[in-house]
Amino acid sequence: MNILLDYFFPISSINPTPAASTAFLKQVLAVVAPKDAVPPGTITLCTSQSGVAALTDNLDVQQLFSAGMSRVYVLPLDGLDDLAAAIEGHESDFFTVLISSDFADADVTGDLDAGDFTGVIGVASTDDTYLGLQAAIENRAAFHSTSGNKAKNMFYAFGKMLSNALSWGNQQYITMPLADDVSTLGDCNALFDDKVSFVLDDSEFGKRLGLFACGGKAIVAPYIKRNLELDMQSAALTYVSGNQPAYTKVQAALLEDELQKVIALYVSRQWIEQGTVEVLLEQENFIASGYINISEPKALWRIFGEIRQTL
Amino acid sequence: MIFKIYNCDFGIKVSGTNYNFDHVMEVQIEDPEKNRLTRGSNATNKTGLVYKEGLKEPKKWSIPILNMSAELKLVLDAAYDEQTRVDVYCIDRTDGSSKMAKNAVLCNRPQQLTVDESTESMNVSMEFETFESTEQHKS
Repeated sequence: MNILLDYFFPISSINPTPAASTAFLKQVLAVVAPKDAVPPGTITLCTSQSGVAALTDNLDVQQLFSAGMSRVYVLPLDGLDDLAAAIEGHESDFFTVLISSDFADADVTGDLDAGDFTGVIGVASTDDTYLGLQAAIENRAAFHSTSGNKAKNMFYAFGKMLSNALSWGNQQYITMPLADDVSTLGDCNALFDDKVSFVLDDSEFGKRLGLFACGGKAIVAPYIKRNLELDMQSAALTYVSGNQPAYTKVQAALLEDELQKVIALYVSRQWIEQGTVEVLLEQENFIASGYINISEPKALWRIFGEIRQTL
Repeated sequence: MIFKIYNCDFGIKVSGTNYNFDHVMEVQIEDPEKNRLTRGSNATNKTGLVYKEGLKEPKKWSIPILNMSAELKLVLDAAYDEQTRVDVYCIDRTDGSSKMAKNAVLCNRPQQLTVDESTESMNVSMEFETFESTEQHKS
C-alpha cells in the first residue's frame, strides 16, 4: 500500500455535484397487452418498431416512432391492477405512461393503480362522458378516439411533444395522422369544454390537433413544473456541495440568487411567466426554508373575437 | 433598510463558486438609466412627456479592495482575459438584504497600480459593467 504520499501531503478535495439529469421527462412508457409467450410485467426499452412488435400486437405504440421518438419503454400487462408493481423503481426512467387501446375504459376506472408514479398518464376512449371525468383528474390526459383508430392519435401527439429534445411545446394545431370523427364545431366545443384532447377534421386544413390538455391544464404544465423542480434541486445541491456554505443570511441570499437564476432561465424561455424564490433561515441549524412561487405554464389555443362595424 | 459597509459581505461569484473580498474600501455604483420629462417650447402643457434615457449604457460598479490574494488574482485575471460573466454581490449580514451585479464583466485587469509606502498603494481597483444591477431589501 502506498502511504508515504498521503502521509506526507494529504489533500482533501471539494467537488460540486453535477447537474441532475432530466432526460427521463422526455421518455414514455406504453402499457400494452402481451403477445402470446411474452411474460407480462417486465419493462423493456425498445429502440425500433420491430422491437415493439416482438412484445405486443398493439399498433398504437408505432405512432410514437412515427412522431419522431427513437426509444420507447414498453410494458406488456394482463391487467392495469399490476401497473403499480411493474413501474415501481422506474420513476426516474419515464414521466409519461400511455395506456394503449388494449385496455377498456372499465379497466382504467376499475383497476388503474399507478402507485407512487406522479407523472402524466394518458388514456384514450370513444366514450366522451368517461373522458370528461378522466380529464378532470390531475396529470391525466384524456384523448378522444374512434374504435377504428384506437389510441393512435394520442400516442402520436405525445410522441411529437416528447421527441422535441430542446423545448416544451403544446403542439397547437399540428398535423395529425388520423381523423377521429370530430368534424363539427359542436363536437369541438363539447370536447374543449370538458378539456378532452382531440383531433379535428377540417375540410381545408385536414387533420389537426384541436386541443392537447392534461388535468384541465396545458399539456406541458406538469412537465415544466417537474423540470423546474429538478433544476432547482440540482442548482441548490451544486451550490451547497461546491461552496460548503455556513448557516448565515449571506449564504441564504447567495443560494436564493442561484435559484432565482433557474427561474429567470425558465422565464426567458417563456415556459413560465414569472416566479420568485425566497430562502430564509427559520430553523436553528441545517435546514433553510425555501419559498418558491411560480406562475402556472399555460397554453393559448383559441381566440374569441368580436368585430364591430361602423357606419 | 440602508446598507452599511461594516455590515456587509462582498464577493464575486464565478461559475457558481464564491470568492469573498475581505478588505473592501467602498462600492460606487453608476446607473445612467433615468426617467426624464420634456415638453414643447410653447410650455402650455404642465404634464409633459415622459421618456427614459441611458438604457443602452451599462451600470458601472467600482470596488477598490485591499490585499488581493494570489488565488483571487488568478481568478480575476482569468475572468478578465476570458471575459467571463460574473456576479458581484454585497450582502448585509444582519438580514440578508443584497445588492448584486449579475452577468457582469470585469472592465479592467485587476492590479496594484501604485507601489510606494502609503496605504493607498495597497488598493486594487476593480470595475464591473452590468445591465442587471439589483437591490433587494429584506427588512
